[in-house]
Amino acid sequence: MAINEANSTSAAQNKKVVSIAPGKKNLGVTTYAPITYSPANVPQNADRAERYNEISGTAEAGLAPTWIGGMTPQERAAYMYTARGTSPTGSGVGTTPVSNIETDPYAGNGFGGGGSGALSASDSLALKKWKQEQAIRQNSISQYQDMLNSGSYRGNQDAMLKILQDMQNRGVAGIGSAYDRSVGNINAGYDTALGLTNQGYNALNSYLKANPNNQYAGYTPQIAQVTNPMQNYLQAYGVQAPDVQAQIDASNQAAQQGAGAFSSFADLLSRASQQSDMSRLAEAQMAQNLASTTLGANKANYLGQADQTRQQALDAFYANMDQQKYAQEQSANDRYQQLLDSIIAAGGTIPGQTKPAPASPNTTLSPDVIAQLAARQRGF
Amino acid sequence: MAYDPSAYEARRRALTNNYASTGAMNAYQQFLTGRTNQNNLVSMNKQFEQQAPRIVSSYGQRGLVGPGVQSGAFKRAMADFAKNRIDETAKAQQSISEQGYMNDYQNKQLNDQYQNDLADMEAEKARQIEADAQELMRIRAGA
Repeated sequence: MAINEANSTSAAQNKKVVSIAPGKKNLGVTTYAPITYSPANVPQNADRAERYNEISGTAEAGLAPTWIGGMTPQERAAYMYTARGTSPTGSGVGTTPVSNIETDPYAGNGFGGGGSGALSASDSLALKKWKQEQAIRQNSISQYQDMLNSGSYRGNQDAMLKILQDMQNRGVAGIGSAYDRSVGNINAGYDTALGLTNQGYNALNSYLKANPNNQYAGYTPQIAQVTNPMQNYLQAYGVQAPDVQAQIDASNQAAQQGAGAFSSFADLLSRASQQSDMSRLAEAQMAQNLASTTLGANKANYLGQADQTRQQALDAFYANMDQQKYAQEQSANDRYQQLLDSIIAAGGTIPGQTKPAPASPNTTLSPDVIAQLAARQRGF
Repeated sequence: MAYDPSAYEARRRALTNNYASTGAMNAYQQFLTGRTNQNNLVSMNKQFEQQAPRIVSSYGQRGLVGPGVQSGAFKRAMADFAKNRIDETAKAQQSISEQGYMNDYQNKQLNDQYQNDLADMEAEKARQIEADAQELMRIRAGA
């Protein structure tokens, strides 16, 4: 930059005292105390900024520090007369020659012209305005770059992401806690149910073993033996009949056969009862086994359901959190892009990047020279 | 239905009462039948004992039996009488024995049914406890 603000400010300070021709004070020109220009001191209000710039600009131009915009036409004409050293009618000499105004600052800065004449007051003001605008722009670029470098532009998003992460941690912990409670309840319920089931069937088995139901076991039918009630009588009359004894034997045999038939019947009933008892015991044991197996299957099913429920809850929760995080990251990215756009629009350089060299398909410059040019542009 | 021990105890009492009353009724009926059969046997024997002298007297009046006289007809008649009495007595005793067998069978069947009912009730109780346990687990699991 050809214009050194420090030098410019110094020059203004060296020209604090501006003499005005005696007898001209009655023209009503208001003079102000010299102001040292500084971009940081530029008021933010537009009117105040204009006033500040005009006062500091006239002072730096070697004129009486004044606010031209606040003058009446007559005052402005008198001020111009003094500044140019000519009267409004073209005669008279001012105390401040025009040559005191600094040379055209635009000449060496690529703004065209190239003349060596002194700047007019309006040009000087335009220069100051330009310098101020450049300072504001540079300040903005610098702040944008600082925001990018420090990542402060993500301030809200990072805070929101931290809140979301805390919510996620609590939510995941809550889901895990609920799952643990469910598993605990399932396991406790299984243990209790298995204990009750075993208790019930153990009681049944004990009862069945203690009360075997075999009513016909060991049954022996009583046989009424037939004797000869006429034996004494026959002996008394000397009657000896072998067929009488045969009758006795036949009757006893018939009685034994009848008892034997019933005994066989009882044995059949006894075996049926034994089989029934064994069947009942086996039934109880199978029922107990089936009950335990069913409880185990139900436990596995309930645990699977709990696991599935937890997974679904986690999936839904993570999906929701991811969506919110994505929205925050997207917002941060939009902010980042806005900063990039603002820096680019202001003519700044994105930190960590270099401006691409202008396309020159037919260039004969070597890559080293192009790199050096790019490095110079980085400092713009 | 949730497991209710009192309901099973009530059923047990009902079964026991029914078993007891039925058994008592059967026993009384068996006693009556047995006594009747026994009386019939005693009465039959008494009749045979009363008939025996008449047979001897009948053959004695015809001179077929007496001091120093024993005819073949008398011996045959006495032997037939003895065999008839033995046969009738055996049949009566057999009838009484068979009635006793039937009584025993009836009693054992009644007891068998009673024990089966009790065992069925105990099994039902165990199944009810199992069902309640399954339901309890389902509730604990929040299903």
